[in-house]
Amino acid sequence: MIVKCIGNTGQFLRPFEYSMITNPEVFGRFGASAGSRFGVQIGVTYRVMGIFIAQEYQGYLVDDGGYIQTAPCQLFEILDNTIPSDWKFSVLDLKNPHYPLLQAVFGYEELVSDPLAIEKLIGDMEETACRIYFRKKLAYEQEEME
Amino acid sequence: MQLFIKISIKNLKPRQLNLLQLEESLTKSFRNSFFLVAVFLVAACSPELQEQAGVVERVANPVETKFEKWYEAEHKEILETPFNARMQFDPSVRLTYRYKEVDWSSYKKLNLPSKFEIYEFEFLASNVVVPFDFKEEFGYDEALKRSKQTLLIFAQGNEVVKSYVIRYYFSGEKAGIADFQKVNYDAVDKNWKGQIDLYSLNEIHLVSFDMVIGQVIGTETMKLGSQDDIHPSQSASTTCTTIWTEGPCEPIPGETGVVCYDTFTTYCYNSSPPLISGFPFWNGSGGFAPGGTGGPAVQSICDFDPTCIPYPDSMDDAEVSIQKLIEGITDPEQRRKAQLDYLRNRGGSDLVELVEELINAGGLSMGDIREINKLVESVYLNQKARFLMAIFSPENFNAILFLVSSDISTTLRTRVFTFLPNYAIRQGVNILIPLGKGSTGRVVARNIGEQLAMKAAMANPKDGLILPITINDSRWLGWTKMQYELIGLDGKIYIHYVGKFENGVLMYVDDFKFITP
Repeated sequence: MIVKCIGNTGQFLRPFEYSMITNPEVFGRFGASAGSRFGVQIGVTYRVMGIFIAQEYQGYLVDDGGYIQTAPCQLFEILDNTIPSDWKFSVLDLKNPHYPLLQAVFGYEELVSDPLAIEKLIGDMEETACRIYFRKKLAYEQEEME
Repeated sequence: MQLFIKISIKNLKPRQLNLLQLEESLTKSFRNSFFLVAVFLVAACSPELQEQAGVVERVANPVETKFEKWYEAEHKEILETPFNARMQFDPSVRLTYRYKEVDWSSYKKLNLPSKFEIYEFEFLASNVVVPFDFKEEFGYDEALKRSKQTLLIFAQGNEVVKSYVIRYYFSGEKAGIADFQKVNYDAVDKNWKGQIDLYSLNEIHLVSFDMVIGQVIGTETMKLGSQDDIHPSQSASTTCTTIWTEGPCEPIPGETGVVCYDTFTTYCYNSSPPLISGFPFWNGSGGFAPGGTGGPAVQSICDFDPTCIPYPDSMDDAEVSIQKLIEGITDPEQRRKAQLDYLRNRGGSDLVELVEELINAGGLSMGDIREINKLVESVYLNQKARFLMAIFSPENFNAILFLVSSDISTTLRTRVFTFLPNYAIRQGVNILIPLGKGSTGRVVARNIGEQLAMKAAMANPKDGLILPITINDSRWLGWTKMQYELIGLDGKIYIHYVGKFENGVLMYVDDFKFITP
């Protein structure tokens, strides 16, 4: 799945809020204030490595400049909506420490099977988790080329 | 055609939204006062104004005699030469000239940066000019009490080089009115709020200074030029430069947060010969022209340029000497102490107290002391280089936060986190201070890029993002994991931290760290 970034600020997401937020300092449902900046760049295409359902929005798992990011879907337009055939889906149960902030994950096997995978990727930048991510990304790219 | 262009030179940085209200209220009364100004003549001195004479230095000095003749000659000339070029201005920007009797025996020699001797004289008869809006705001009687006019003379020996009529309009608290009357151009009290207008002797409005907490936050120059192309020779040679100056900050009374008075100042001057440009020129006895009767051709632009007027209460030579003295100290500890003394005496006592608290608790490494010295140096340089003292500015506060990401010991870092919030609260600094509940990652920057990123994150945590993951650390239960990104020359730098929200607004922050180990 390939997406192109069309916005990268909290301000860009303001129209998608369920109710109008006038105070720029208030963090809306996307976890962003008007001044917040997401780690993606406008005009750049990204390979989506996972889709997650957060408490109040849906987001993609992408990487920019070697850093793995979560970003709301509204920041992107879809260029290729093909989903890799090996993706799995998992719903986080009540025991998961990240519930209810994170509710469900759709993506490659390791991302879905490890209940703490997202935390390891974006919170701790754990080496093993990141290595799996980038190895998987490479595999998808090669697969696509073939 | 309007002969004068009123160059509005007061703008605010977007971040100073809080200031708008205050600015508006301040300038509502004054911004257009010049055009709305009404001249009110007071039939006789009010007791309040008669008391003015007592507040200035009374010295039996021949100074009075050397200026008296000059003043009378100027008066005569202004009256007798109505078609003199200096009178050829749009009447809407010039007050009606009236004779104002000077109390030559009561004056103060001012300490302002100038090669000339500067004297400020009181006027005997008040003849106070009260802007219409000012009168509307306070009522006529109170407006009079809040107004004062003096004569400023720049002299070289017995020659008057230039002179101005100064009008002070105090809009501060009513309780401050009595003290207001003691104001002098080189000694503006820190509680002083209002406007100081400078006019030429024949009542041409040259410049206004808007003052808050005794500091200039905005100026307006009244300059000759052309707003249309009818007289291209006038406008073509007008040159303007704009300077942004970060202003002082102060807590908002009764609220949290800080209000800062940043200023955009535009200086314009017309490089045409004064006669053509129509600048007020003085060709009388003495006048602007050094050496007596010089006509327009021998005038220097600066003589006509209001920017050559020193700001009220501007830095004097003694200040420069102190700075030179401090900067000559090579011993780091002595230098730090001198810099702290300097800051303490200029409204920075809380900052000094904080630094002293950090040091006096002991247990610091040499590296810690070195970093503290750097901090003090940075704040000192930040302060001394500018006319406006912004000791409580977020910029200075950031300098302290910068310390946190330096290579300092945990002892000092913890101490900063412990003392800093109190300091911030006291000063009403609108920056979220890390609570210092602990640290879960690397906080020491590896390079300047990282240090800048940490500083930026700490200064702007509200520009970060909430990550969709939960914090399980017992120290921050119920808090939110956040991320701040800075794109530097060497690529991206991410800072993670934790935040606590109230009604969607970030209220507390802590545990700033670099995400790369």
